[in-house]
Amino acid sequence: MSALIETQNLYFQYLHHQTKQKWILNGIDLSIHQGEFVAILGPNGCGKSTLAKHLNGLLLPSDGSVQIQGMDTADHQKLDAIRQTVGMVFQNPDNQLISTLVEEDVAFAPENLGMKPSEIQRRVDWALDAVDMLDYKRHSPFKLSGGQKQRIAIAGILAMRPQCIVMDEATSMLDPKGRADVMRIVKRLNHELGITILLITHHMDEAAEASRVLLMNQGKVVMDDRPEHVFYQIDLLKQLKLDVPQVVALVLRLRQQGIRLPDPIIHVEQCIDALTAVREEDYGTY
Amino acid sequence: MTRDLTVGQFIPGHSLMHRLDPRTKLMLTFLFIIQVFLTKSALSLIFLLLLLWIYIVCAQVPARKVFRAVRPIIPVIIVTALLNIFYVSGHVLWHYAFLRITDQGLFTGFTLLVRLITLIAGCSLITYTTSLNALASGLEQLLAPLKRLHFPVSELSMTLSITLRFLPTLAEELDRIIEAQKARGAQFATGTILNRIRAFFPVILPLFMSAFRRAFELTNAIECRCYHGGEGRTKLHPLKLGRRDYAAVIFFLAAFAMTLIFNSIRQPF
Amino acid sequence: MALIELKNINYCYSPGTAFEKHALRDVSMAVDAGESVGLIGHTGSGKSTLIRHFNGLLRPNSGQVVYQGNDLWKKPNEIRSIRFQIGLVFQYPEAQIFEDTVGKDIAYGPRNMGIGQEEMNARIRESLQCVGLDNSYLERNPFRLSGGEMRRVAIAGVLAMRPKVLILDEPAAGLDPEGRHALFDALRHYRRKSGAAVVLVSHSMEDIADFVDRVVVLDQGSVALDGPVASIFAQAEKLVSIGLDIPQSTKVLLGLKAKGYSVKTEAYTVEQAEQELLRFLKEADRP
Repeated sequence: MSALIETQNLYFQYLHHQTKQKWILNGIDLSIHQGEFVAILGPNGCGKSTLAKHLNGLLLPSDGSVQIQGMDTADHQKLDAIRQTVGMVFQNPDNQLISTLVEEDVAFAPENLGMKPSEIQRRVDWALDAVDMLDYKRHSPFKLSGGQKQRIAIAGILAMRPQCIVMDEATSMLDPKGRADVMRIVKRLNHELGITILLITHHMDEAAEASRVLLMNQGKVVMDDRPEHVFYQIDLLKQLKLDVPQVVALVLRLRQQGIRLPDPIIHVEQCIDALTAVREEDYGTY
Repeated sequence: MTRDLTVGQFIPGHSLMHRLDPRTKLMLTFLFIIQVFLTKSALSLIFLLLLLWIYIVCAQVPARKVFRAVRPIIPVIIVTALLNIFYVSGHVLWHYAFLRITDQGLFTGFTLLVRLITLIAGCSLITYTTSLNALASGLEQLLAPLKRLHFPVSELSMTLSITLRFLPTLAEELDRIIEAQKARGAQFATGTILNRIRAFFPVILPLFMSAFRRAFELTNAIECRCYHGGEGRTKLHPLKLGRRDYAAVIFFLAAFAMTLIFNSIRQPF
Repeated sequence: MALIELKNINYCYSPGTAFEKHALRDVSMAVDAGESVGLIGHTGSGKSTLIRHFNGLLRPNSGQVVYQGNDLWKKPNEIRSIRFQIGLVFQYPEAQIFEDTVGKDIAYGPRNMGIGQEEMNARIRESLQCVGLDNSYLERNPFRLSGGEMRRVAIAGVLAMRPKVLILDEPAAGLDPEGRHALFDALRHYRRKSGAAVVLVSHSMEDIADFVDRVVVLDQGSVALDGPVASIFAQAEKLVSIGLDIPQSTKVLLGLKAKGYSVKTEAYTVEQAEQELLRFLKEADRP
C-alpha cells in the first residue's frame, strides 16, 4: 500500500536566501501511513513548521518532492484535493477563525468547495459534534476560551473530511485545561475515525500519546521511533535541548538505585503500576 | 475601550426583524432613511415615532440598547437643533440682543431633533438584528450586478466580514499594548499636542506589527481551507426571500406613502 | 514589614451592567523584599486582574495596595513613578516592542524615567547581559530575532528600570524548552544581582516549582492556598481539584496514595520524588 504522505529527498530554503544559507529542510525522506499518530519534536528553527507547510502545498520544495496519496504538491491542479486530504491547525486560534458565528466559521471550507447547503449543514453539525462543540453552534467564537476556539478550528478542518490533520504547535498557546481538551479530541479523532495525526509540539507528555516520534534537528530527521525508545535517548534529547520527561528521569534514577522497573514506562500510570508491582513483589517474597 | 465596540453589535434572536433577509433589511433601511428626511409635518412626525416604536417591538431589542446607540451623537444633534431654533425666521416669540426664537424655528429645531434620533435609532436596529456575516453577504448579493463589470464584489464582502471579525480582537490587543507601555512609564494624557501624538507611536507601531502578523497567519489558514476567491463558492445559509420579506416591503411602502399623505394634509405648521 | 501588600482587594468588571463580573473577592497577599512568590490558578481565576493592581493599572473597588508603607491610591498622580519600581511583564511581552533596534527599545522605560544618556547606556547593557544576550544585539532589529530572543529583549526593557518588584505573567508561554531555560536563567540572574522580589504568574506548577519560595493559589477570585512550596504540594489533591496541572513526579506519588499506600505527596522535583519512592519501596522490606 502506498503511503498517505511521502516526502522524497526534500530540500527547502527561501528564495532570497538561496546563496550560501543553510537548508531549512535538509534532505527529508519520510512516509506516513493512514491512521498513524506521529509527534514531531525538535528545538525552534529545526524545520518542523516548514516541513508541516510542505504537507499541503503551502510551501513547495526547493528540491525533491512531496506526494499526498500519490498526488504531487507541486501540481497546481491537485491543490484543492491535497488540502482536503491534509488539513492544518495553527498555533494562534484567533488567527484562524474568520467568522463571527461558530457555525459559519466551520462552514467556510465546504462553502469554498462549492457544496450544496444541505451537505454543508450536515458536515458542520458532524464536525462540531466530533469536537464536542455542537452546543456552541450559534455562539460567537470571540467569547470562547482558547481551548474551545482551537476545537472550532479543528472542526473547520474536519468539515473537509480530511485523511490527516497536522497540528502545528496548536496547543502551545493554551492553558492546561484547554490543552487537555484538545488532546482528548485529537486522540479520539485518531482512534475512532482513523484520522492520521501529525502533532508538532514542545510538550513531551503530548508526544507520549503518539505511536511514533520524529526528532528533528537542523532540517533533518535525526530519530524516528516509538516514544518508549525516543524518550530514553537522554543524551540525544539533551543535545537537542529538549526536556527529559519527569517520569523517565525518575525511572532512570530509581534503576540506578537498583530498583528493577520493567521496560516501556513513559506514562504516569505505567510508572505507578510498575512501582506497585515492585513493592508487592518485595513484600510477597519477604 | 473594548466596551465601546459592543454598541451596535449583533444581538442573536428570533424576532420578526431577525428573520428578514439581510437584503430586505438593507433596502428597507435605505427607504426608512429617505422617509425620515421627507418627514415635514407634525402629523407625519408623530407617525414616524409610532413606526419606530413598531420596529423596535418587531426587533425585540431592548429600547435601552437602541438609545444607547444614539447617545454618542446627542451633542451634535442638540447643537444642530439649537442652530435651527435661533436661525429660522417666523413669528418671534422671544428675543434678546441678536438672539431671537421664532415659532417656526422652535418647530424646525424640534423636528430635526426627533428626526435625527429616529434616524440613528432606526439604523441601529439593522445592526442589532443582523449578524455581520449576513450583512456582508446581503451587500454582496445586492451589488452582484457589478460583478459583470469585473468589480470584485465577493472578495470585497469577504474582506469586509474579516475586518469586522478582527475589530474586537485588535481592540483587545490595543488595550494590552497600552497597559504594557504604561507599565514602562508611558503617559498619554499630558504634555503638548506633539508630545501626545508622539506618545502613541509605541502603541500604534506594535499594533500594526501584530495586525500584519495576524494577516499573514490568516492567509495560510484560509488557504488551507481551500479559499480561492468568490468563484464557485456556495453558502451554508443561502439568502432566500420569503413571504415575510414581501410583506415587510409592502408594509414599508405603505408607511412611506402615509408619510407623504400626512405631509400634504393642511396643519397649523 | 512587607515591601508590597494587597489588603482585602475587591474588583468587579463592568459593574452595574449585564456583563458584571466579580473578578477578585477579598484578596490579601504580601510580598517581602527579595522574596519570590508564585501566583498560580487556572484561566479566569483572577491572576491577570490581580497583578494589574500591583502597579496601579487597575484601581480596586475596595481594599488597599500598600507599597513601602504608602497607600498607592492616596496619591494617584505618583503612581507613574511607582510603576518604575514595580516592573510588570505581561503575557507575550514581545508585543510591546516598537523600536527598530534592540538598544532603543530597551531604552524606552529608562527614558520615560528621565535618566541621562550615560547611565542609560550602562543600564541597557546591564539588562541585556542579564537576559543572556551580548552587546552585538544592541544594534539589531528586534523583529528579526527568534521568538525566545524577542521575549528576552522585552523583559530586558522592564529590567532596565531596575524594578524592586518584578511581576511576570506567564513569561514562558509558547517558548520551546531551550527558550524557557534561558528565560528562567535570566530571571535567576536578575534576582541574584538586584535582590528584587519576583512574582511569577503561571498555571503550570512544573514551571515555577523550582523557582519560587512561596506559592499563592487563586481560585475563582479568592486566595485558596498560601504557603511555602512544599506545604502547597502536600495538599496536591486540592490542587488537582482546583483544576491545576501538577508535575509528573507529584502525580506518581498521588497515584500511589490513591491506591491506599502511605506516601507523602509534597515532592515536586524528580530528586525529592526519588527519595520518597526509595523510602516507600524499602518500607516493604520491613513490614
